[in-house]
Amino acid sequence: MNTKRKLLMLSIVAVLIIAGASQALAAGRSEPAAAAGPVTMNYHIPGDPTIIDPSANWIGEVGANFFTPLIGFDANANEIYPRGATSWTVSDDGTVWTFDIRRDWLWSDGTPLTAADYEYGFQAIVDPETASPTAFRLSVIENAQAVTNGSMPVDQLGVRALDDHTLQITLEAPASWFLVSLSSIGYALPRWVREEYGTEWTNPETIVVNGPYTLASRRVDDVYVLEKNPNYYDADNVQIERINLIVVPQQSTAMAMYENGELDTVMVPIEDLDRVQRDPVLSQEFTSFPRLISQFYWFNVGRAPFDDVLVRRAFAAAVDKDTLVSRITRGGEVATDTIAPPGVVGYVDPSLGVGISYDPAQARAWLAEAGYPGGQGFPAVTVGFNFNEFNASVAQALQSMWQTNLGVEVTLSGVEGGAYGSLTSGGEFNIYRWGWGMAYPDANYIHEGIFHSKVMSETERTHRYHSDEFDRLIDEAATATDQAQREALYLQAERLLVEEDMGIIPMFFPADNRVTKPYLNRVQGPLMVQEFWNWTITQ
Amino acid sequence: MLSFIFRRILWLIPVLLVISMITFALMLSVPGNPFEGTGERPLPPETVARLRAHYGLDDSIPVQYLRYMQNLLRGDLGPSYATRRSVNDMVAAGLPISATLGMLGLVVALSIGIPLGVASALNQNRAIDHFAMFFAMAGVSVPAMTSAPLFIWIFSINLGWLPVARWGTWQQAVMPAIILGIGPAAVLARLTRASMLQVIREDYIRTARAKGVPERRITIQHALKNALIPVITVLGPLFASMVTGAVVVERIFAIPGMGGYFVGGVSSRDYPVIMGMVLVYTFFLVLSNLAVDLAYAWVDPRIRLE
Repeated sequence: MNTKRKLLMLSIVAVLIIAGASQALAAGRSEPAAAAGPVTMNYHIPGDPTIIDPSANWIGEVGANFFTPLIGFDANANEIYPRGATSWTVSDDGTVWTFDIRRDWLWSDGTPLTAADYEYGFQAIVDPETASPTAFRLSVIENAQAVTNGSMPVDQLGVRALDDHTLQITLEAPASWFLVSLSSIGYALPRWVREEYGTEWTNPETIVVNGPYTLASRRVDDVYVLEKNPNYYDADNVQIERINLIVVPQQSTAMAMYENGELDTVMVPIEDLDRVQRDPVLSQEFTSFPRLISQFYWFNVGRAPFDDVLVRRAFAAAVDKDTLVSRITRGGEVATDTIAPPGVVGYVDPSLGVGISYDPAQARAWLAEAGYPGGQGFPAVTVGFNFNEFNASVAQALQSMWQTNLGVEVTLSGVEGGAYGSLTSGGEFNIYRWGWGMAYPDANYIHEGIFHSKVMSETERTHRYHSDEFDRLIDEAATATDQAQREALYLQAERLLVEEDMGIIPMFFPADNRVTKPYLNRVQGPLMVQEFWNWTITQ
Repeated sequence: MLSFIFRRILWLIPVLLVISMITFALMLSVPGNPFEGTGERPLPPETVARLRAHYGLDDSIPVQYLRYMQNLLRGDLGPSYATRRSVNDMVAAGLPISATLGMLGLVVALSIGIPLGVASALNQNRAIDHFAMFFAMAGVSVPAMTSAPLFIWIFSINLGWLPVARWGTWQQAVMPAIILGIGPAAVLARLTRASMLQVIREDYIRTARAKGVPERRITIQHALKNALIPVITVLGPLFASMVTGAVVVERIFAIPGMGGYFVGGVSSRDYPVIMGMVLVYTFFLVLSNLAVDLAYAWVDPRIRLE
């Protein structure tokens, strides 16, 4: 083969590669036409939604748009409003809830919607076959736990369709937080589709919905196209007709896409916060408020030296949270001495002075009282956290505060996320980082979920905290119906947990820092759920 | 020649077997399990037990391995525990995209790296050489983490020439292909330069010159061809790693390729995903090493494939 022929061959190969590449690129191209068509929003999601079936997964940021729960929760007005159910009553003893299901309402495939669809939706969550991570949220319903652990058939669950338009839910015990919790769980599901297609039923070709939007098409890990569901009961008031959920894992890329006009609203990465707030245009598009997430460090109270409440109090008083959020994390986080985030029933206003705030002198005094004056003789302790840059910088700041203010030796152990859970439940560390997002706006979710002794067996609760008094307060708050009384009970519970017993050091509530184009009117939904049907676009 | 290729392809079987065994044993011995959330409430023990039983994770490792291999022989890579999608689908959707990007990156790497290396070898210690080696140093030391956002800032936000990210049009492929290709281009430039410097001092080059062969022909046919052997050696593994997904570039440019599956699979202990990715990568590595060996024989007639 002479040189010319070789060069020719090489050029042919190169042309083939480029041709192949452009063909492959063209194949991936099927973006819906935007211009002058339907009212369209481009919304950023950091990861693929993966599981859309609301019975099989957490509802997530966008999942609430496909299906309709019994009730809605208006975070701004702080009140419940009818959705799938038009009205409801509760028995005198607070255990039997009866819902009237909306009439003259069709699924997206034209099937009439009945109470049986809700019954099936609840059953699907506790069905052991589904293995849902949210099954525990229904454990207050009669027989739910027995169904989930497989000792009772699914149809024994205390949720029954009495007729086409009446749904009855029976609880094991009265729970005043139960109704509001139904704003994010217990969606009606189309049994005929779910049973025919298995886990594939939420694919665009097969999905049947009863919510404001349906899934028109998708490319996994790239884009999910939502289209308005004309059969939704309130479709007349849904203005945005098409939503492109665009998957962009890197926050800084999403921010650049926003600035380039490719996305209509995004979360602002921490490194861009200063710039955004100084920029004359971007600062007008910027909003920030605390998310319903609590970040904290808890003590392993079952092991010395943190079996001594004085030591725990000393460690809590040695943490300067204001400096932590203003100098280290710098993402608009709100420092806190209590656990329940603002916006939930049971949030403790800082003016009430509950919790242990930064006081290095008091911290040293407590440590001395516990037998370690100036930190002398204090054993080496290990602080565990699931490793990422953010958690590491917080842990390093805490380490320095404890060493400086108390004179103790603190070792950090950043663990890869996948192994963190099993290491913490093994009781490996003395202090652990943890976080808790609220699934419904009531402090019950966090107090019962973490510190009530009925929730997990003693060996699985990494903090080993146990207080009969705390349990009693939370139980009482669950049955009380008077709002003021419930708030008072939660206040007592917080005082016990973060002051008297000091089982946990509350740190901060992370912020939702976001920029939104001026033509998009975004209504902040409850919790972390985005309710696109309430948003509008002005041209 | 054909029997050589055939034998080498047969070798793929034991290689995949050993790699799969090692990977399988390693990933199951790492602490953590796929059904354990981080930072939220763990699944109830009964549910975890049911899931483990459903996916057969309670059997001994050899039994699990045999079952996996049995499914693999039928072409089934299993379901992802985290997304419940089949790993076959994930590979089918992600591999063409990653491979396209990788090929484009390779074209960039070759078309910048080799000419640059040749040019700097022929102009040793002159301005061109210094410039080329500066480029090579920069290309190796500036990671995509830095260069990609810089490119986005310049070409998308300021100049408005290219879209910021995503995949589907040729405009969207420009920046990721260049970013992906620059690092390997720098490596190739340095390799080509070193190898060329050695070759152009050989006796046969002097002989060719003495015979009056034109300088261009000496460079391309006599020198470059022989200088390419070390370059071809690194192209094998380079090709395999580029076409099976570039984690950082795909993440920054929001490209739905395979790059993220590897990392995501490991951090969520999604065993079938880890296995699937390792096997696909191994497959490409073995094949591209075969291609390298074939290319040796083409470049250097003294090398015989037997």
